[in-house]
Amino acid sequence: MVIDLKKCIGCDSCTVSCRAENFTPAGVFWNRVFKFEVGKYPHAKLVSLPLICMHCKNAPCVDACPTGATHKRDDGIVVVDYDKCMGCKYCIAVCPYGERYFNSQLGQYYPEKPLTAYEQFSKQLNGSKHHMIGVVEKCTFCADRVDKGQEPACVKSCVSNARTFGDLDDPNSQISQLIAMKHAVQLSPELGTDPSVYYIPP
Amino acid sequence: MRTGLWLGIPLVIAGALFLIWDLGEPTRFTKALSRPRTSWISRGSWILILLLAVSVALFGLWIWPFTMLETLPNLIMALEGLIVIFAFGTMVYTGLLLGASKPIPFWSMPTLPILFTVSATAAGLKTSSLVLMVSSLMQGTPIPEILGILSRLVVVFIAIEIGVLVLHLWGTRQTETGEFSSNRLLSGELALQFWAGYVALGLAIPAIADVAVSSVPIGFEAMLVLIAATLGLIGGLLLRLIVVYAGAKAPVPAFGGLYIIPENM
Repeated sequence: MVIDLKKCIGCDSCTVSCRAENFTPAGVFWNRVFKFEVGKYPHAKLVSLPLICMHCKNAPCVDACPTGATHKRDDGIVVVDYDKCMGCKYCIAVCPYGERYFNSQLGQYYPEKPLTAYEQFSKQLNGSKHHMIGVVEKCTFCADRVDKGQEPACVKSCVSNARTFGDLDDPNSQISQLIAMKHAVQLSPELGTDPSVYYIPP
Repeated sequence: MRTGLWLGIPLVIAGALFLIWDLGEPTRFTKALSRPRTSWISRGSWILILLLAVSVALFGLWIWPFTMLETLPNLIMALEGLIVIFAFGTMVYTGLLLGASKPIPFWSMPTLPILFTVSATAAGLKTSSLVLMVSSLMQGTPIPEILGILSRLVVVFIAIEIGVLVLHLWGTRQTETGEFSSNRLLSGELALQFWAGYVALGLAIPAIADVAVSSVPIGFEAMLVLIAATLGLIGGLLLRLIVVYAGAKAPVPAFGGLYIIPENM
């Protein structure tokens, strides 16, 4: 994925669409937008930095996982098998980007009231959308949408077309060309994780 | 040896049960054995299981009908050797497990596994002294001379532990996040546990007690060994607790900003 920070307006549509698509419990954000100021007056500006799992090629979480719950698919997407995860949280300790969440409880949106229709419906879902207590979860690049040939929800919903999703291993793909032409960079490349998420500088 | 196994086997089992209890899904703990090639938790799980297996095997030699195997000194020597290897592995792997967390500077210093190993060795020596003392008191035999040697060894290891601790704290202060973590110990929210708990109770008092062991009457000797062992073990536990709580992730630099990762992520 490439995220163009010149185009990102920090609207958080990606955050909301991710929640809607993946039925994440209250308090869990597989996608977040970190907003910060750079520069000094009169040249200061606000930068919006969307943060998701980097789906690293050298993912430390995959190596650290003792059960094999965290694993990398053939297409490079890093996913968690909730049925294998024992909740040791070691993957959280080794992730340098802080993009994993441990469910000590499943937060309700309105704790004093019954579950909403959205929350009730989510209990019938399978796979990564069936959130469980005692396991670790994270962004899946909407793997089930990708399997159907669709884009992740955050890419689809981006109002400024700041996000591009594609095959990094294909040098002729739109995303590979975008990375080359716009000099997109990874976060903390010196760590050797080789993230699959690139950013075009603001 | 037998007293050591009487004490050691239940303690290792208790420690393993605490590890299992801390899991989000404790019923799945057997899955932890799946990835010893890459995961330190898997490796540690295997080390603990093998340590227990070999310890129980040696203990089993004193139970009929296996007592006949006691006449095989090579077998006993092999089992004792394996226990030493796996016990050393148990001491070392926890520091390596934390050290593999590269985003946490306070944990990823190479001095941490050394600190944990030295601390564990000191704790083991103190416990061995206690076991020897209790054995001789129960059997009504004179206090073995080796107790004095063990006490002096404990003092040496405590001195080494202090040296490695100072080196570790100095090393972690080379980065901002590492400095933040070490300040938590030295003057922050963990200062009481660090200074009063670990340094005073866990290091200073046991060291003084072990120095005094050889110069007091026999009745007081037992009391000092008990104090040194008990406080030393508490100090070892506190060291591991405060190291875990002090650890903080380095922020992610991004386009002129600094994304500070929340504590629970």
